[in-house]
Amino acid sequence: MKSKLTSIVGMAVFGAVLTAPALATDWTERTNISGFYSSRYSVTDEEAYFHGDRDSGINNEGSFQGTKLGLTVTSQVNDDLSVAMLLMSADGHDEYSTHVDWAFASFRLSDEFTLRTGKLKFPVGLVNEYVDVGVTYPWITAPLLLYSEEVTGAQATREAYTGASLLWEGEAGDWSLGGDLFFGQVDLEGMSVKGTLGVTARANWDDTVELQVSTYEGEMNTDPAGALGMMNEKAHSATLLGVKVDWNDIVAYAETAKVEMDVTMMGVNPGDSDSWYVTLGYRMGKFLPHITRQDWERDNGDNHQISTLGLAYSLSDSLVIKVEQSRIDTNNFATQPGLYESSPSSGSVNMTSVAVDVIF
Amino acid sequence: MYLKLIKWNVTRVAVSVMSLVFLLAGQAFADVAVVANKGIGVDSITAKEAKKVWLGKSKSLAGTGVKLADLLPGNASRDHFYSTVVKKSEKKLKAYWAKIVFAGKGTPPKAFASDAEVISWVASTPGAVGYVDSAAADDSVKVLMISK
Repeated sequence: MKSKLTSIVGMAVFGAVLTAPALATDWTERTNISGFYSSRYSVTDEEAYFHGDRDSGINNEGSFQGTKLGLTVTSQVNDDLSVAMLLMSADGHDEYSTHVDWAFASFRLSDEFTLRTGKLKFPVGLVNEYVDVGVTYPWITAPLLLYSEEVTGAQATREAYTGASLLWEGEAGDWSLGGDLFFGQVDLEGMSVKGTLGVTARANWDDTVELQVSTYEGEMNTDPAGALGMMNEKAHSATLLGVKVDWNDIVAYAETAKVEMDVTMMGVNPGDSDSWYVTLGYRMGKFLPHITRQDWERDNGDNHQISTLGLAYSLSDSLVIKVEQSRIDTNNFATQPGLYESSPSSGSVNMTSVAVDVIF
Repeated sequence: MYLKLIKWNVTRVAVSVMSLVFLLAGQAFADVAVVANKGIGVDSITAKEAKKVWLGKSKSLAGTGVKLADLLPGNASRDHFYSTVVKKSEKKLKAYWAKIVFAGKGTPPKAFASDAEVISWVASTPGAVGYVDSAAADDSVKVLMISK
């Protein structure tokens, strides 16, 4: 699937260049390459793997989960058509094999409307469209209880979808407004979510206050005879609401997500969940100390609360060093391990993380 | 005699200090001119339009696509342009473009090292617009706006 997509994008770029021979001579001028790199290490005081399995999860032996390198390539084919892709290698992703994280073509219909087609980043969640680029936010990892892509996680945000998106940009007074109407298919391991239709609305006041609301619904497709058979042809929907404030030296994020899956087991809907987080930080020169409280609860009783104390130190606008200390609380942990691979020995686990984030 | 000498020295120092202040003030607040290729179909641009264009929110002027020229960080004209016209600090500007670039939604304007390079590129590129120290704007380009 990935190689097929790469071929399609490659052919599209090649075709565009062939049909615009006059532009071929200044290809380098029309192409922008930007990159990011993150090096991360986390360790807990618990043997059970958190947020992943034996290969990628975090436990008391430590993990480099989240270490990654990405290259974004954007090429302006002509005034109205551009092609963009993100090539990424990450720890825990097929032994650092490079994959196309997203790749799409953008057609500018007017200053207000842009049509995009291809494999697109899921436009749900305040930071999801650049969630792998650590320099763009204060945390080492975007709050897991809302942003986790793990099968056992909230499933509120997705990595990407293949389909189309109609972007709208406008303004009202000092506010920049935006909308994203999207439709497509999300491919996951062992299942897909077809016919996903959603909309995201954004409002931004001079990059000081950002508001975002999203809602989407799709139909899950699994092997009816497989382990996930009960999810086949069931609806998956979510609604998210977020606000970010970056005013003077104050940085704050707050986001909530409600996920619903039409799957009932023994009187509960295990796929349904509510999650939220709040972050508050205060910039002191190059230092940004911050605190975060996350909460996630599934209908079947799985739940976590994570409290984090963090410090981000910006050596420059392109290089940030981060340190975090978290406490992961789990109720009913003996029977409902939540984001652990197996039940932890304690309902309260400490996690220490360090990271270096770079853009270039 | 001594009193006269002291008075003369004080006057000299005061004049020197004032000259330095005016010189520095002149450098810090030099006007910036938004310039365009002579073939572009507009004669003026508002600060609001310029802000939209340089933030990538608008890609045309009077219905024709524009190609943007920027100056590299650290340039005094760039500092003046972004603080008075776009009204964004360098830090917020970098954060703004990082989110756009890494979401694949656009790229920042092409950046040049000097006013002369901007003038040369704008003059020879159809649809190009840029900004330079107003003293550097010559007859090879069209001045759309002066920011004081």
